[in-house]
Amino acid sequence: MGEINFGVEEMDALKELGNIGVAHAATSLSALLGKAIEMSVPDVRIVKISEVHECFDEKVVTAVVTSLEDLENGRSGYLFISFPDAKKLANLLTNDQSLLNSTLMEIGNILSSSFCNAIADMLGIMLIPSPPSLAEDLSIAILEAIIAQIADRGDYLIVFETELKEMENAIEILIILIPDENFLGYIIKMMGMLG
Amino acid sequence: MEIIVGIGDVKFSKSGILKTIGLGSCLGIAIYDVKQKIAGLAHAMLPKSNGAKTAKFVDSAVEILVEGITSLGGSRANMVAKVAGGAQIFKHLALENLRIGDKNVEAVKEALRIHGIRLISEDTGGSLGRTIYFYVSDGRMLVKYSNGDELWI
Repeated sequence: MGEINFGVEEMDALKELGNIGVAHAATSLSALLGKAIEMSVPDVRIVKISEVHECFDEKVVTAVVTSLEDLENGRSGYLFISFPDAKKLANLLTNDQSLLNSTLMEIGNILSSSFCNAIADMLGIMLIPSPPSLAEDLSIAILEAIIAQIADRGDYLIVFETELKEMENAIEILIILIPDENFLGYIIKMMGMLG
Repeated sequence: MEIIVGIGDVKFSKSGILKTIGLGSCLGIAIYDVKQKIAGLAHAMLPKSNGAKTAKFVDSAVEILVEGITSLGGSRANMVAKVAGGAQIFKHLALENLRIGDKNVEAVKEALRIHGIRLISEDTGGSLGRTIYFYVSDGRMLVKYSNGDELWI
């Protein structure tokens, strides 16, 4: 993955798969909160690792990271779910501030499980999300740990990014999927066959 | 003049400020020729190189920094190092392979020892992300934590 030169078709395949994942995640979140959730048009970008800092502002966010593991082929990628409005979001479920982190972990869990299930079904593979790891820090500082896992073999990241929005309280959630090299190849192959 | 060093990247300068944003488990490694006032800053992610010589890896980053400063007219005998980062920012660590901060710190100490460069100050570990600013004119380094606290090293 030293150099990436994707065509429109490959980008579309990833976009479509991510779309399905996020749509299911949004449905689960809507059921959990009892509120309507809207999702933005997803964005797929190829980002050079040394330029990742240009994609994020220097704001502190609460975020969870899960890895997606394909049982047959090993680790497949990472989901980064950030909650810029963490407190507001958790307060929809509980007013107990001591439960803030575990509430966010649970929301992260639900989002990543439904995302994972939806794309695994589509691809016809077994894909299991790890339990979420939670952090509150600069987006880049949190993402670094994921990037480091991918960076071993390449200089670029494929980033699939969507925003979920709860309109009534104006709460936003950012979901980013970063597939590794093998998984990406697999997605493109499978989506090509499906298309 | 601020020069931003991206993730896995390295930059050199004889003036201004070298800056790198959002160090979590990664390490900011600054090497400075105190006589010639030439500095290099790397933002390294992983402890050991897989063979490729890039600033993504702590051990090769040190090598690249030393060579780069030498080629700009510096000499190894006058080089010192300052290091910051290597935090463990996840509160509940479910993924063992996200625990790389400590390994990065160990790796930089070994690499500096191999190259015979003195580590004059460090601010590593902990649980907060850092943004660092290296002032090339006098070799001071400012560490800004994600909670707003600041520390000069």
